[in-house]
Amino acid sequence: MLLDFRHLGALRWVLVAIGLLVAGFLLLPVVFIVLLSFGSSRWLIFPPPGWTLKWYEAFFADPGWFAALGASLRVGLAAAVIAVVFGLGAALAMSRGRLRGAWWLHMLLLMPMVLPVVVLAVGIYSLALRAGLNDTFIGFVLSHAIVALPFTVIILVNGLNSFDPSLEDAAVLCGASRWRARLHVTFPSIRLSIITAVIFAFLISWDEIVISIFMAGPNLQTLPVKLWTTLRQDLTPVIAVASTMVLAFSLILLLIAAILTRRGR
Amino acid sequence: MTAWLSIDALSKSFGQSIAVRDVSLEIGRGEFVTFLGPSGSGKSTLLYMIAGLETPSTGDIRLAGDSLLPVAPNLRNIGMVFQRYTLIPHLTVAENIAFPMKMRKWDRQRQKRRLEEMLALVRLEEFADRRPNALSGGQQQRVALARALAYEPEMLLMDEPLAALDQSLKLDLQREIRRIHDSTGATILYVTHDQEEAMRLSDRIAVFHNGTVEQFATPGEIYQKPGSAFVAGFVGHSNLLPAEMFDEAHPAVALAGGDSTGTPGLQPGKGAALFRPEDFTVLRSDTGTAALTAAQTGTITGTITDIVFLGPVVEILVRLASGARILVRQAPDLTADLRPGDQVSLRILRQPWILP
Amino acid sequence: MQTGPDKTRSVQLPGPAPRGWRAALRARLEGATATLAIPALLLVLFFFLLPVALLLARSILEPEAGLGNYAELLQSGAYRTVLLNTFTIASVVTVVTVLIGFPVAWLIAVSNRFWGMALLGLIFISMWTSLLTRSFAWLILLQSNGVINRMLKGLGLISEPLSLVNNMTGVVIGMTYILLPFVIFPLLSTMRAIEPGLLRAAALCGANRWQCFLHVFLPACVPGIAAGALMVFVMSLGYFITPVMLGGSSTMMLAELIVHLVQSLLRWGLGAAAAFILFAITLAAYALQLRLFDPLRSAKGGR
Repeated sequence: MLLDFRHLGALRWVLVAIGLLVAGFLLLPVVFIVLLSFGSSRWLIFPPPGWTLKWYEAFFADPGWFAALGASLRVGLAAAVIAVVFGLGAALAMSRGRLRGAWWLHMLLLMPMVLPVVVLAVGIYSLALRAGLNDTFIGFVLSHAIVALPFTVIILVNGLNSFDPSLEDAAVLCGASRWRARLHVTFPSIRLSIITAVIFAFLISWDEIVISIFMAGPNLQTLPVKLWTTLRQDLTPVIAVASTMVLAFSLILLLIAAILTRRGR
Repeated sequence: MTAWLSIDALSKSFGQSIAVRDVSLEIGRGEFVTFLGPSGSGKSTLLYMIAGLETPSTGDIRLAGDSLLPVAPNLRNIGMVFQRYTLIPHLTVAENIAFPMKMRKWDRQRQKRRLEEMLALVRLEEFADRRPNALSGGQQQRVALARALAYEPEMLLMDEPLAALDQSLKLDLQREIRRIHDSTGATILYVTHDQEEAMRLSDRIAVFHNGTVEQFATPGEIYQKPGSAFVAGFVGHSNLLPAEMFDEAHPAVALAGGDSTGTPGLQPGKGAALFRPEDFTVLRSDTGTAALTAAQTGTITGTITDIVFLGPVVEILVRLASGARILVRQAPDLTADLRPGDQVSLRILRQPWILP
Repeated sequence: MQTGPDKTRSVQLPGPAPRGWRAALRARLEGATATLAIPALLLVLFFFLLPVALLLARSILEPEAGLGNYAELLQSGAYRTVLLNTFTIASVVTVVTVLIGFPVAWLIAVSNRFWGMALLGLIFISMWTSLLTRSFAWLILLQSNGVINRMLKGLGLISEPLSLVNNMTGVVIGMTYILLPFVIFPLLSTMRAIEPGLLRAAALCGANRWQCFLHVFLPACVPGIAAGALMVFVMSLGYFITPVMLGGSSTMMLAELIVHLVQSLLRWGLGAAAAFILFAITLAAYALQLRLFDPLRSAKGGR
């Protein structure tokens, strides 16, 4: 009865009201930032006196913003590929290899998710300074990959566990080598998990800011870093544009992931 | 029959536990052999080692004289059907059956010809373009069978292929498997825990228990002359009565119930006499005394404690004076006047098998 | 397959292998599934274990060997204020997220499929969209002449603008907003696992709605509340972006202090020690959580 909407009595309207308020609370900043990016006020006044696209023009005209956008895309893609390929290897080893200590390996791989990002960021920064990795593409990619790895491992292990290993064995006995069997049978069967893992790994890199602040330099900075540094100097509507771009890209990818998951069911 | 596949002192342990313990078997070409045993008895592990999906701890597997162990599973030329329908979900029925031929890079003409043969063999011609999930369990398992046979493997391994199917479908597919064995002449190794299935299908049965083979013999021998109490108990119902040879000159067995029965060809000593439920005729003690006295072989007397009607047969549970219980199966029309509590005589129709 | 070399070696091969060592080698390589974990392990080794070890080393070696850095952190008034701030804010955020998250999870648990999915989708989206941009939005919204203040003034609720940002209020609002999903998800899964018969049975025993809530529903939700609260608390301890953007000079938290020490003051030893304190607290909290609920129990694979 407490878990049945119709039997909650007046309480249900209290719950609905809280739900609406929270939904508003969650939506408000996102909607606000998108509207702001189209507002004509230089001083981010809301509601804006008029609507304009000039901040978008300014965003794309500025080579700094554009370079940051490109860097974010490249780093995100590379980090996603590495996190998924490495994660897939680890997931195969843990769910298929009869590995003693698989539980410990799993815990170890999930650890970077648990650690506060600031600690990881400072640690990686300290290492990167010595190895000359900061302000380099490879440094960005690997440090983003380590943050994304736990997520890809979780998604791919789940995918592999819901896939019957005797299917792969059957393909091997049909004459396929272990790798051909994986390529022809296992990977196509878990392709949904693989695509989902790529999307979320990319999203993690795309939104990653704390490590990136340390990694960034004059050569290379991702969009969130550029946003962060600009934000601390000057509150211009171009920040709202950049924020809208970041949000829009994330929303599109989340939508794709949602559609794929739905279709997979 | 000359040995074609020899399993030689094979063992497999996982950490502390031993799954297969020093098993040796010789299997002839074209034979249908069933590994029968309860779950965890090592029969599947042995099958997986023959397939190459598990590596033996010690011992050897030889096919036509050559060791199979160094050969990768995909090069062993063995077909296998699993308990779960292991069809590749994103391929059609035809593509699934053609998959092993594609892996072997057969030419297109040969693939096509063989595919048609296989579809005809398992009678699924009209389903060629369907996806596996559009098929019933029985149909999927027939596709798996066709896929495993498509490349003319030297051996077909089946790991409880019918365990997930319901009873009537099971009977159909058992008949189908028998037919396919007859028409292809393939050597088949079949794992099951269902003794009736083993009896129905096999040329020979290897009964597994705790990782070892208790007996390897034809179904008739397994049933009538089981090598151990475990085999006697696992295959069919067994009534075991303590027995003792009492006269070497006139071989007969003294049963603990106080009765005796002539049993030629026995070694002297103590043992257990095995009676199957159909080895008796039940007679009411107050009738047929004439027949009793005339009986050459022994009779045992007891009291009926329960009668269960099963359709073709009636099961009667009889308690002997010694306290032992005996299960007897009779045709229903012979038992119409029997009631629980009746005193009965069990006339022994067949010499009991004395377990070593 | 998938056996270590120790097992393979014990196989007694009678005479030379008929298909040659090449085939044997290939078979072994193909079977070596466990080795596929090596790239991921190397990544974790070099970009996780090594950096953390390096931090630990620096915290006790720089500027001189010993526990001086830790002593300084725990004794200096300024640093103790930061630690206090961190724990205060994390505690307040935890309480607020649980208070808001509980009715929301409850609403999702009782609403029909469509509305449940809609609310969940909204929460999921806010979990996976940029924290930076959303914190930025709050910064603008909460300003003294921002939308919120003007709205409250327009409604006649206040006469003077409230100071909602660059102080603890701003940090708590921003972090509650960001961390709310992390308490709703575990709570929801706990509520969905509650046997509805349990509540019905309690009602049949004569309990009124309030008694039912207090004696049956709430206790059944405790594991979810505990998991969510612990998660939010631990995550808030290490937050950097939101407190920096929405907080003021008096609300500095541990993460900001670490970055400040390392990046601006170049006091690596002290910064590393602060990072390590944060790490240790986090690990202890997760160890506690693991003791209570093992998230990997269902994730273990194998034939």
